Amino acid sequence: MSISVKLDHVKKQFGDFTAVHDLELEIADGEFFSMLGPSGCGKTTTLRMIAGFEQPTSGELYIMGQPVAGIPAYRRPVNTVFQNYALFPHMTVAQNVAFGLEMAKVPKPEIEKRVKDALALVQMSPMSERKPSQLSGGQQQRVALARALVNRPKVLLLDEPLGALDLKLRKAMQLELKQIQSDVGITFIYVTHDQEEAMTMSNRIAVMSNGYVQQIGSPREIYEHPQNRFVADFIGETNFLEGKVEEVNGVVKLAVGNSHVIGRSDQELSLGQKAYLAIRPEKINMYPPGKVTVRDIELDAEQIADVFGGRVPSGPFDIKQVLKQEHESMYVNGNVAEAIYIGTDTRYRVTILGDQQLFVRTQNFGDRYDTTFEVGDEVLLHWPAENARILTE
Amino acid sequence: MSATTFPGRSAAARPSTRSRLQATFNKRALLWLAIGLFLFLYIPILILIIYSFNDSSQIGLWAGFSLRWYGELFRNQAVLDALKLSLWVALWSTLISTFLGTLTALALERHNFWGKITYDAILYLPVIIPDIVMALSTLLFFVVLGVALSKYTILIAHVAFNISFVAIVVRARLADMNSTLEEAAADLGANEWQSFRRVTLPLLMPGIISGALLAFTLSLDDFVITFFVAGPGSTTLPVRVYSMIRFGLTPEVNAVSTLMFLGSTLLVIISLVLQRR
Ligand SMILES: Nc1ncnc2c1ncn2[C@@H]1O[C@H](COP(=O)(O)OP(=O)(O)O)[C@@H](O)[C@H]1O
Ligand SMILES: [Mg+2]
Repeated sequence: MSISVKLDHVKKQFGDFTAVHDLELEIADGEFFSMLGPSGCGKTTTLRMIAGFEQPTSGELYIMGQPVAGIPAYRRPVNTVFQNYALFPHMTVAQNVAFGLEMAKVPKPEIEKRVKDALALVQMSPMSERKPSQLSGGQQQRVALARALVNRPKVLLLDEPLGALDLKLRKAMQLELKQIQSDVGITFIYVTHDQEEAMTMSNRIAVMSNGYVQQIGSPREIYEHPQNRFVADFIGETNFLEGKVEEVNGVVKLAVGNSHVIGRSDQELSLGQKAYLAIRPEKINMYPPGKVTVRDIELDAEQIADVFGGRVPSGPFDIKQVLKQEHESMYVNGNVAEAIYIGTDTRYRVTILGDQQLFVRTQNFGDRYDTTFEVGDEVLLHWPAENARILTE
Repeated sequence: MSATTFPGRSAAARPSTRSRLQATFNKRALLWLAIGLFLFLYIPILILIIYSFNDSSQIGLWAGFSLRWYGELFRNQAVLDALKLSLWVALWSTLISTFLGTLTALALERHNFWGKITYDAILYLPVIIPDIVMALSTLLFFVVLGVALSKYTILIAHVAFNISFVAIVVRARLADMNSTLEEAAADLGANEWQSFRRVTLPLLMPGIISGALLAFTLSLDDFVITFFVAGPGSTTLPVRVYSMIRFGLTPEVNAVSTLMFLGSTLLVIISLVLQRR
């Protein structure tokens, strides 16, 4: 797989302010790559450096293996879909789409054909004679996409292209964009502050904050193995418990108050160091404490049978007996402080270890299967070590 | 939004009787003020127009409707010559100042250069400082350089003050125009010139035309500056009118003034309409 865009220690300063610090990126040919981060973290600046609208203060930028320093925007093999579309208001849709081809001196008949194909690709053929002001936001977005794609760029840059659309249209366009990208096979570099959008579409995501790349990885890697607190917090929802590293031995033991919790870590940790246990609300199991029957819980029947000498007990039994047997996992008692029903899930706030709060999500399967808890109920929270990450600051 | 909310139905939004009276009164007062101001401004011009159709050669005496003075006007070679010079100066000063003013606006709005802020401030000076000061300084400038006064000195002086007006009008339009359009053009492979020709210029055109019309009007109407820098025999229409008045107010002067008024009004209206677009 070849590299289409490479940023080598790229840095951008505006006066004293550093918008992008020492950026290292390699984007593969044909990849759908997203830059994700809160507003002001330097995403647009990075994109503008690739497009050629800004010059890096230092570092080197390569497109298709060629260093592009000093090459003006109009000679770079990239095209941009701007956040506000930037369609030319005095030209029709067809003229807008033809603009890039005319600049490239493509013969007239070929221009006509390619414009037609591009408009068909984004389903805008019937509107080709309209002016941009006669189009809805979603339609303008499609035209902007066609205007860029028609040039068959090596790389397409998209700066929050769906930001101005309403939720439903945005969701539909996400899937459509992804489909178009895999059809045309062009490298997409996609900027967004919407984590769900990035997760839906991308092959890989670079999570950015304050001008730094915090982590690069597939959506799954970033969600399941966040490398620091920022990433864990920014992507999805995460509970954090602060503590001191007590034991590092495959499984990490973290002292919290006068108890301890366990998780796993990819980081180098030293004993006594301050660290956080990060665990997502849906990765915590919640059980009624004390005696339960098999019907009440979601544990594997075989696993239960193992504990009770090969037979699943027909009457109530102590759930701790089962959980204790499970390899590298932990449980802790808690009290339901809040229970919010949100349709697909129920979201509980549970107090553990005296004063710590954990959010827990349980999926709603239907009345027959669900065990619901009320505020004030005693519960047992349980998670296997690999469900929780131990992170430093 | 519920379908049953009608404007004015909500009790909270209903103004008290007293404040409603107050509002009505304020609106009335404002209307009368506007009418009064309008009359104050235009009654003199209205009188001028009416008397330009007076059959009598005496100004204050109404002797019936006639186009006699308009006829006289078009037989008056001196007036026709003055009109010709006025149009010549207006046309050329408009062309030159529109070109230079547009470039100035582009430089100030789209580029950074040393001394930009100072230049920006100086640009507004001709608009602000009194005509008489402009006139004197321009005259002094020609005298110091030893340039003989002629119709060309009029042209140069007009170009000088028109550049500012054109630049200001064009720049307002440019500031409204999103500069990402130019980036989009560059992104699609247009070099600076192509981007200017295909994107910036067409979008700027209404501003440029309205600036040009303004320049044309200002040039046609200018008296003070022209009076100072005109060479012997170079008489523009306003200067000619002035010298006609010195021999007494005649209905002929009314006729020529009426025509100048109508011409300028037309140009200003076109210019305003273009700026709205
Ligand atoms: N031309 C500029 N001059 C000064 N500061 C800028 C300029 N462009 C961007 N910045 C600053 O750089 C930071 C990153 O901006 P940007 O790349 O637009 O962020 P994002 O697209 O992630 O929201 C912001 O703090 C912004 O204010
Ligand atoms: Mg941005």
